[in-house]
Amino acid sequence: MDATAAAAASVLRSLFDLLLYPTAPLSPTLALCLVSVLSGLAMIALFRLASDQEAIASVRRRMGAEAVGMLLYLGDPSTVLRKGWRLISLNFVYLYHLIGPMLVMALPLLLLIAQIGARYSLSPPAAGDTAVITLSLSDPIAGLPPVVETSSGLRYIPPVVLVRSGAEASFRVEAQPSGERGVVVAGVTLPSLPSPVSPAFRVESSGATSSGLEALMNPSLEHLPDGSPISAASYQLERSGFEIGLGRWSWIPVFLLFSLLGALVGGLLLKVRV
Amino acid sequence: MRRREFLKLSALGSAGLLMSRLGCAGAGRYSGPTRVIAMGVDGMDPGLVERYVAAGLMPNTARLLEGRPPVRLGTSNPPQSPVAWSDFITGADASVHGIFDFIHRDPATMRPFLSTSRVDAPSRSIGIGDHRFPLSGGRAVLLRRGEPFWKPLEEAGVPVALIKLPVDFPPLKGDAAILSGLGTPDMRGSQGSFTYFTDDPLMISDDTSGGLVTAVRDNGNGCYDCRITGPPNTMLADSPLTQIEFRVWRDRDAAAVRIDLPSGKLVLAEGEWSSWQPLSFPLLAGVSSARAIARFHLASVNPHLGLYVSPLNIDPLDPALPISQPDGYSARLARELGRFYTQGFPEDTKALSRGVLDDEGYLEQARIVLRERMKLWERSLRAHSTGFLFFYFSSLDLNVHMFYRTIDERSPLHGRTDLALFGGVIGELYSEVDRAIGMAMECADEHTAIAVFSDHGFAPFRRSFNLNSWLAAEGYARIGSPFSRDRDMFEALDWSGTAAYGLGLNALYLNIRGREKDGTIEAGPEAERVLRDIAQRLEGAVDPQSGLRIVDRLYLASEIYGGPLPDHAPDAIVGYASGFRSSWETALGSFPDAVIEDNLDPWSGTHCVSPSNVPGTLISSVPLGEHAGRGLSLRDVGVLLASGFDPGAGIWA
Repeated sequence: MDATAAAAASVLRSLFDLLLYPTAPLSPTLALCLVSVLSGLAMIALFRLASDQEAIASVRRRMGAEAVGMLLYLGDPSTVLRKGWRLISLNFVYLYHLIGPMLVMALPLLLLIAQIGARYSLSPPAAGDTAVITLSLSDPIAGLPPVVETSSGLRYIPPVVLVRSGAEASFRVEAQPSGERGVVVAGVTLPSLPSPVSPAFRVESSGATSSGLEALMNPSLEHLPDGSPISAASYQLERSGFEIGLGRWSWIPVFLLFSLLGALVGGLLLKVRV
Repeated sequence: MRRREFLKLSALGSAGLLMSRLGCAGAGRYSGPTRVIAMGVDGMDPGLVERYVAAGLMPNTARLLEGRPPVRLGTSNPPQSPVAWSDFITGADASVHGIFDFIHRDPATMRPFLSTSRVDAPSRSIGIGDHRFPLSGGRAVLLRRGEPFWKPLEEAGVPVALIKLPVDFPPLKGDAAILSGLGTPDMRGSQGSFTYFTDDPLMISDDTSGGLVTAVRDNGNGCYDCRITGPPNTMLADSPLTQIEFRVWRDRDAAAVRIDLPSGKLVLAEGEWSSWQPLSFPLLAGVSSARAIARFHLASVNPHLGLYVSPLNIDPLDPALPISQPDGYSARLARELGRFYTQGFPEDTKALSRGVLDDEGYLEQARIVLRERMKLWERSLRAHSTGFLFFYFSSLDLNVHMFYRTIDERSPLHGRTDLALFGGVIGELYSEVDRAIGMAMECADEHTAIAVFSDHGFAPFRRSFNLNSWLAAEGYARIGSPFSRDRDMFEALDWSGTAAYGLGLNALYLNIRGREKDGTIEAGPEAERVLRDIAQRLEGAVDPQSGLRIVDRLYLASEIYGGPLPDHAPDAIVGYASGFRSSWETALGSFPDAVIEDNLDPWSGTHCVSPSNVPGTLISSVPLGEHAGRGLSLRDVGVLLASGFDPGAGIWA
């Protein structure tokens, strides 16, 4: 189960990497807005496919008719009450027609949010920024701390701090203006630190884990090799912010706003009845 | 007509003329070519400028001076930064702007308060259980009064930017872009209060001046549980102090720690300073919090843990109190340049005085402040390319205070300071200021005027004079409880037998009946007689060690200030002779046994002496012409700089 989930996570990540490849040259803010609008469009299209559009249209027509009827017979309380009751009943019918498509959309939506969140919620360290990497070690270290090697895009800042009686180790790396951002600790290659060149494309590697299921729902986690002396590793990165209008927003409100916009536009274009 | 009256009239005349000309010039935006860059360098001493120019450490300044000496600029009385910068801003003395010292007292309650600003809690709130929900906003109030000199420029549409402007917290509303400087409190409402966590029993004390030393212990595995105290929580009954818990893991072998903060993990090796760390103090769980920022410094790991946390600065990205005008200006700067110190006194001099930081640790922190300030300076020169730009540098003042002992051979601490390491610190600082001057010169064209000026110069602080103890010894104050002499705020005093007392660094007050809570002296002839009697004796007092006079002159407030004085004004200003200053104890109203003693605090330079001992500096890229010969004072500088935009005349006309 774990291996299947891990493989699925890998496939999904590769798929999203491919889908989002064209946004790589854009600024992170523009890329997020574009991806959000496209997500909204995709979701509304999925809703159209999964829903009984005729039935929804019919229920909405009947609901409209009952509402108008209430307005026309305001002077007749018994009619208003009867129509009000029918309107409430029709609301339940309307919700019943929505449940199916919502269930169909739930999993893709969760996966979509997970993938986009993994790419946009954290900022890759800019040149000169420092990130703390924390390792959970399979066997506590009593003696020398693990040896850290970095590739040219990172500079290791000593020392390694051993805590919890050697069960955890933390150290710092400083991002350099260019070069690969690979880290090798005690012979284990950790996922590369995100690059600032194309943050929309490579922010997924904000951590590492050995759990495949976790990796499916949290694409920012990557698998470590079996039998690794490191049971988990995490990179501490800054939360990202997007400057839109007068404020600076985290990725979630930006995603919600622009995906809603995309869904509204898509609904009009595809004549979707919601 | 006396010289001072002449200058006042000429300044007012210039301002009036300037307003009328600028008013005629435009209801729309200013479009002239003139650009004025004003660098306010706190504590720049003309004597030291000459010394370092001669030594070749200030080549840009030498170019500006073109062989002339820097102008000696008259300073305020007393020559304290809040008073002096208020003089500059308003072009008037303390009788107009109301700032007489760093601290004032309310004579009705005898409680001290910060002279420049106060922060009021919400006046109305609804209580539900232990919670208090405010119905009105809390507010910060600027206590400085008077019209600032840049108002006519704003009205004429001249772009005005005032970066790190002293004595302007909260910043005045208007068109000018303002970032508050000196006088901006930290999140605890003080002028800067550090926290030091240690398991060294020798460091623990109940002294709270400048910060808190908090005892922590190793819970096993090198793990320490720590708590930082934040601002009071006004959303709870009795406003308890907010707290944030965090954990420190010590690795003795690596001589480093990992700090697990709520916002993330931090690794620090011994001697290192962290970047700014955001700290969010919860007010109402999940709904409201107060944002602060702090820097961590690992002072020691072995044998004892010593972790310093800087004063909790207002976060410029999300300020809890107004520190800029317009409101979002500080956030824009922080996004562009990174977070920066927002407290008015960024260099933590108290931590050095208390021994929490050593010279090296303090100096590294001071360099961080200066680096931040230089980035802000560079950005300001770039962003404000027209109009009037004022930029304030604090580094020289605070660092010269702390390292004057390196250039003063008669300082009691001169021989105990590592001159090989720190002997060149003051020269380095002047050299950095010179680099900043060079940056301004690089971006100046033929329409740009550059003025570099300071609020005061510097004098040595070798001997510490306990004014209150002297008053008691001379019979002007009566000690009621001898065992409380070391306690602040006059706990030792018997007010019924007290005619005069000192509070703040230069202020002397009479215990006036009807004004003070337990006054004994009648205002009028009796008060004047007592004051003149004190003046005569104080001016005759000599240091038994050297035979030197301690006080040059006692300035009577009624004689040196132009207008009627508020109740919080002192009755006299003590003008100390060079080498002497009031003790820290006097400043807070206590009565140490000794009347005068050696100053063994690293705070070894001062300007809180007689104004004639510490003139400020004025260096201008435009010849000052007849102004230079008039004996300019800091009060004239604002109007002089603003006159650069007078379209009917040349710069400094």
